[in-house]
Amino acid sequence: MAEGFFSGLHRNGLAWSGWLFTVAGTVFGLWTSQAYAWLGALCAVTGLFTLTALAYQRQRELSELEGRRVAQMGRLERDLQTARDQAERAERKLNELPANTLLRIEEVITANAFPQWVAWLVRHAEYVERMIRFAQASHRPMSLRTFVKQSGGLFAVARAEGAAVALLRDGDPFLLTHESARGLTTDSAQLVVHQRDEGEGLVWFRIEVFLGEEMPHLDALASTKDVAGLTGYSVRPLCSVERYTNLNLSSAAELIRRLADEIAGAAG
Amino acid sequence: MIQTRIAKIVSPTKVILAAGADQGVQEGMEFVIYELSDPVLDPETGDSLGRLELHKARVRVSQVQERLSVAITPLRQVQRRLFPELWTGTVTETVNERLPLDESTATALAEPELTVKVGDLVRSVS
Repeated sequence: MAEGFFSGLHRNGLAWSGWLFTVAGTVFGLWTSQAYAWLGALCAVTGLFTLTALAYQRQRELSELEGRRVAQMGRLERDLQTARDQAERAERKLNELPANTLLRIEEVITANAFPQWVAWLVRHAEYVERMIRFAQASHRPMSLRTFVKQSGGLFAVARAEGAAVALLRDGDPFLLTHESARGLTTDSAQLVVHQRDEGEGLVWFRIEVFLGEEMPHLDALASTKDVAGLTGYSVRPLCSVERYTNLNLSSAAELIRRLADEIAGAAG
Repeated sequence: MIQTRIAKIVSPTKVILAAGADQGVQEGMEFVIYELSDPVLDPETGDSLGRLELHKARVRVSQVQERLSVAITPLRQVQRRLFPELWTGTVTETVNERLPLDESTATALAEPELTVKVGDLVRSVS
């Protein structure tokens, strides 16, 4: 308010000084002539005039503020409406997206589910059949020789009979198990065949998944080459060969293929 | 098992192998590109167990000639957004994977120590 007063004084300095000179001169004249009644009346009129001017000024300020507030409220309401429209559009898109995705997933599953399952079954039948022959060709269990850490991966090297190694394929899944001194057997890791050396009778496995809390232990074994630490570890195929002993799986893969072709043909 | 080497890198998705029909290569055969680690010793006997293959990439033979064959990287599906600023408009494209090539032959580098270069060992995957 004081700032407003001084800025007003600065803008209208001439008028103010004229008004002050006139009033001061009149007051001085009335004072010296001892016309106190007129002096009192002049003070009352001047005070009334000043108060009226002040009240008018405040009213104008209030009107301006109200005008600015209304304009700002209008802007805010428009912004709010724009934001609401955008939110509604985004919500509509969100509702549309899962429907599109679900339709596409359904299409993909419908188109690929059956051939994929057939491929898995054929691959697994071939794997089981080879593992049966692998077990028959292995006259003694695979002997784990060492763990190797290389290029961010952990590998296990096992010795087996050359004829058995020849039956393995890259990527065949195996299981690393550990038998404790008290005879408790636990699964340590899932392995896949990484490399084979039939001549030397060696299989190099890549550790794919650690099962349980074995990672730090196997990692340490790879670093320390501790021979005693290998005690209790053994490698076996991921499938249970014993479950298939009475079955002839030599043509199982071909059988699955033919059955699948027939089903696919009948389905149209 | 067929063992050979990379004769030439045609592109980040295509290589020429120094083995062809004469060596038994057939169209569709899968090969792994690798290099060998230092010898690994048996900690119990001290004998060498051989050298670990450090696999770099896999390729599939697309064309066979008498003494060479062309192999390409496997296909994979990638989703690409047509209009990144919009929520919709994605297309699924099938592209060949890129080989982690040597600095001198390409710009793509995955692991500096396992980059594919001319002369790399290659063997068939059975």
